[in-house]
Amino acid sequence: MPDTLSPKKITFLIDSKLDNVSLVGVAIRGICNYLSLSEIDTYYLELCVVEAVNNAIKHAYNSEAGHAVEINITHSSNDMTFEISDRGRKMASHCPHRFDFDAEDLFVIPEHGMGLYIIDSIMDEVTYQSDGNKNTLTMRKYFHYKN
Amino acid sequence: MQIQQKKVDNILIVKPLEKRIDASTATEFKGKIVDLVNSGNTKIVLDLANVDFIDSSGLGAIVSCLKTIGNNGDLVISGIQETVMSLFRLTRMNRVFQIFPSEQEAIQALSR
Repeated sequence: MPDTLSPKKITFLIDSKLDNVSLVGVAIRGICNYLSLSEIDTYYLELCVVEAVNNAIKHAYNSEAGHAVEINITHSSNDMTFEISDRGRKMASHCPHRFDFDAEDLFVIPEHGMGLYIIDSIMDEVTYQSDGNKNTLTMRKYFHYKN
Repeated sequence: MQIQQKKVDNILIVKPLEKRIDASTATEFKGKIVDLVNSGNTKIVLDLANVDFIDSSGLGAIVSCLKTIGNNGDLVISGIQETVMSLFRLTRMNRVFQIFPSEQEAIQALSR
């Protein structure tokens, strides 16, 4: 296990194009591998960050390239915090998403609206804040390392 | 997005050659599968053996493909990696799709 006593922080900045999001995903995967997280935890954290960045690009910037999406990652002794920031249109609010459907009825199975449900299901804390023209989705995941 | 195709009797096996089905590739992926369905392929095995990452957009595209086939056939999944399977479980899509460990088992199921 790498030294986890002092918080470590890294920041990525990408242009608001969906083609760039996989780069963020691969970076998250690399960090998780460095921290010796399990494959499932690694996949889940990559997934949450990808969903959050996708949302910023699609909803805050209306899929328009040329804007910045900032990803701050902080790792401390027992948690990882991901802050995804944009300067586009803000979300109305963030509240836990319900996601239920009848699996027997093919035509009501959702094709959209799963991203925030996934984030809420995986992360331990999720908050959304707009400060001036900067919107930030903060996601925190706690870990219970075995000594 | 590159997709490998092969046909066994009336069953089409579709295998994405990319590692990711995500928001940047979902629309193209869906378009290719819908074209195959509209060409008369209504029994499809989607072999995800090469795919190690799917996000909600990619998952939505796969659901959309299933809806395009509707009640005229079926789309089943094979070769799914455990990490990707965890997304299907999280979203309960494992109740929607028939998922088989191997391509052969998926073909057998569609042959019945």
